[in-house]
This record gives sequence, structure tokens and C-alpha cells, in this order.
Amino acid sequence: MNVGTRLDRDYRALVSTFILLTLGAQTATFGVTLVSPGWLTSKLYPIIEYPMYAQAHYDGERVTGRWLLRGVLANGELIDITEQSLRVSLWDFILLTDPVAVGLPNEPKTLGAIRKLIAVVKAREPRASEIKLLRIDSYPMKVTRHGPEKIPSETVATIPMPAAADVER
Amino acid sequence: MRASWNRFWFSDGPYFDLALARIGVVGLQLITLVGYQFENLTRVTSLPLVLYRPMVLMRLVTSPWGWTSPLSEQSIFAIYWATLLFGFGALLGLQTSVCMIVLAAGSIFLQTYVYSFGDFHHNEAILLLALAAQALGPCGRVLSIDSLIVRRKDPAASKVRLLDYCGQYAGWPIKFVQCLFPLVYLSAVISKIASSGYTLNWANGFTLQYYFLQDAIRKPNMALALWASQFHWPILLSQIVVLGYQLTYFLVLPYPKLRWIYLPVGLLFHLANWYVLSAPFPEWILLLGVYIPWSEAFKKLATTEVAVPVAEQLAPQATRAPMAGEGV
Repeated sequence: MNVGTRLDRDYRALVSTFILLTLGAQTATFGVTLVSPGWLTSKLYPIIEYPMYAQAHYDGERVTGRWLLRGVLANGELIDITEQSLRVSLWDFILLTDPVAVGLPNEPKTLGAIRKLIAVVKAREPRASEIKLLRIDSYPMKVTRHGPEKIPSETVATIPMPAAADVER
Repeated sequence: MRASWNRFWFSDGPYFDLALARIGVVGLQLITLVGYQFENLTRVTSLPLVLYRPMVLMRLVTSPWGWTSPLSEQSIFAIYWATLLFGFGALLGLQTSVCMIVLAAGSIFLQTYVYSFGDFHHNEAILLLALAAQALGPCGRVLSIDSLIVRRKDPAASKVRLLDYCGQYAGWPIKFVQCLFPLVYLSAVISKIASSGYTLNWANGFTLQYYFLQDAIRKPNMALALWASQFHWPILLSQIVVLGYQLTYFLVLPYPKLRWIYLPVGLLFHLANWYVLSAPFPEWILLLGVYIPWSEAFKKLATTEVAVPVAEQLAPQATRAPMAGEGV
């Protein structure tokens, strides 16, 4: 093994630094995950946490993989707002609705998520100008030992348009 | 300590294995760039700016222009085309080091840019890190246009068989990925334990049944997941296997023979995810190949003797190709 030349030493130093930084940072994510799982997620991309399908779920739990977003018009009519009508990807749609549906009311994070949702609905939904309220309903399904079972859908958030701050739950 | 470090990372490794990894990794990254990254970039550049939350790397790179707003669409697509162009250079092995560095940097930048709009997945990161490691290694020494140029320039240079050609810096990029995989699987298992209140409740059967249903209502054409969600006990068993697999995967490093158990299980696991949950991880499937000593395998294959049927032994000329100058 030739370690004699200056070039060799410099190259080894460069490679060793790369290995230590990358594998070290990836290892350091374990501590973050243990203390606060999901906090880091993708912030330091491409050094990331890997919480794929990590949350445990239990018998009888409602499946909240996606939320039903609806617009309430002035005449009381309900219209479905989907990823297709907003022209966003399925994942963008989930990321837009999920923090509003599960976030604590009046928390800055939830209010920020509401602002984002309203901005996207206003910019993309063809009937946005007619919508008086945005409503998020849960999906009518729960998990059981024998597979899926139907349960009634529930409204989890109602957001006046265009006001961003008022959220009724 | 230093000697052990050098012995582990910088002991001789086959150039062939590294070049094969380069072709695989670069090839898949090019498929990604052509197949869906262009579409991704087109989608995110049209999204409302309110969704733009730049990741740390993106903030660092764009800080000279103010990191709160993204680079212009023209700049993003200029980076895309340059990355693609240099990617083909890397695949062919033309000016390999330069091409690999541009491909790795460009790919990481573009993926970070796309993910700065919120939508985020786990499959590409390990491939991008493998690409970065290979960019720092001598991955164009063989199976490349560079190697043909060297050969043409100096026909009198001493020759060595391709599969026997080894170098002290040819092994580390492969070992890097071999060490990265256990960390990734451990991260996955730690996430499962920590997200379940520091218990092993994750492996209760209902969790995976839930995810089958979750993905069935999220994604189109998920009849298989919906159907599979009714089998509680087989699902419970598979969850225990997954947890055990991810928790003990690191054992392939000190005990390389275990790869013949872990690789098929891993392949099955990722293929099942792909077909049942519609969660494709082709990058991971490809990179599991770094545990296979390809040059050794090809050498063994080339020198393996096979039994000749009696009928052919009676007509030996049928068992070999005609030599030069022989009539056919």
C-alpha cells in the first residue's frame, strides 16, 4: 500500500473526510430520531431519517391516509376539491391537507398550513371564487383484524374563505 | 487506529466491480433524470411560491442570490440539461471524474430543489450518496472510453487481465455503500421503535394492515393491497421478519457470507413493497448488488467446468467453436 506521495496523502485525507462526515452524519440522525422522531426528516437532505411506514397503528383505528377536502358554496352546495382540480401531485395534496386536519387549532404551524391551503385553493381551484368555506372530512374507513370496515366520515376542520386565521373544529 | 482505518478503506479492490457499480448507478440516475425528474421540475416550478421551503443544502447553494426565493426556471433547467449531458459522459466513461462530479452535484441539487416544495420520498438519497462516493473514486479506470484512450496512447504499457486489475482506491466507494445500508436500515428500525413510544408495538399486524389500506385510498390500482389487508396473521409474521431484518442487517459487514441470506430477503422485501404498496425503491434493489464480489464471481464462472453429455463426447468437434483457419 503506497502512502508515500503527497498526492496520496491528500487524496486519503479528502476521502476520509467525506466518509467520516457522511457516515457520521447518518449515524448522528439516530440520536435525533430517538429523541424527536420525524423532526429531521429531510432537512439535511441527502442525509435523512428513514421513518417509512414507521408509525404503529391499532385495531379499530380510523385510516387517515388522506382527507376529503370540500368547498361549501354560498347556496350550501358541496364540491369536492381534489389533487386533480388543484393540479398538484397526490403527495402535495396530502401535505396541504394533513397538517390542517391533524394540527392543533391556533398553533402557528397549523395557521401557516391553513394559509398555504387557502393560497393554493385560490390559485388553482376553478370554482375558488364561489367557495365560502373549506371543509376537511375524514375518510370513512377503519382497520380491523379482518381488513377494512366502513365508519361514518367526520368533519375535522372548517375554514372560512378567504380569512386565514379563523378555524372552527 | 490509523493503520486499521487505512487497511479497511484503502486495501486493494477490483476496478471492475467499481466500474460495474458506476454503470449501474449512473444508468439508473439517467433513467430517473429522463424518466421523471424533468416532469418533477416542470411541476414544481409551476407551484405557488408559498409552498417553497428550501432545505439546508438549497439555502447554502442559493444564499448568494437570497435563499428565500428559488432560482429562476431557466437556471434550474440549465442545471438539469448540464447534469444530463455530463451523466452520459459518466456512463460512457469519458473524462469520467469530471462527469461524475458534475452528475453527482447536479443530481443532488435538483433532488433537493424538488423536495424543497414539500413532497418528499426516501428512495433516492442513498443512490445520490453512492454517486458522490463514486465521483471521488477511480470509477472510470476500466470499462470506459478513458481506459481505451490510455491504451491507445501507450500500446507498450504493461497489461493485466480486466478481472484481476486491483487498486488501493478502487474498493472504498463500494465499502462506503456497504456501510451506508446498515445505517439506513437501522434508522428505519429506530424510527419504528421511537414512533411507537419506544416499544416494539409496530410489529402488531394491524400496522401493516393499516398501511395497505392507507395506500389503497391514496394511490390508484391498489386492489392487491386492499385484498392483502385482510390477512392479519401472515402480515404480523412479515412485520416481525422486517423488524428482525432491519435490526440485524449490519451483520453482513463482519460476516459477509450472511449476504446470501440477507440479499434475497431484501430483494423480496423491496419487490413486495413495490408491487403491493406501490412503493418502488429500485435504487435500493440495485445498490444491494454492491455486496456481490462481481469480479470473483465472473472469474469463477469463466473457469467453471461443466459435464459434457456422453453423446457429445463421441463427437468432440461439436463441443467447441472452430479455430481460426479451420474449415467450417
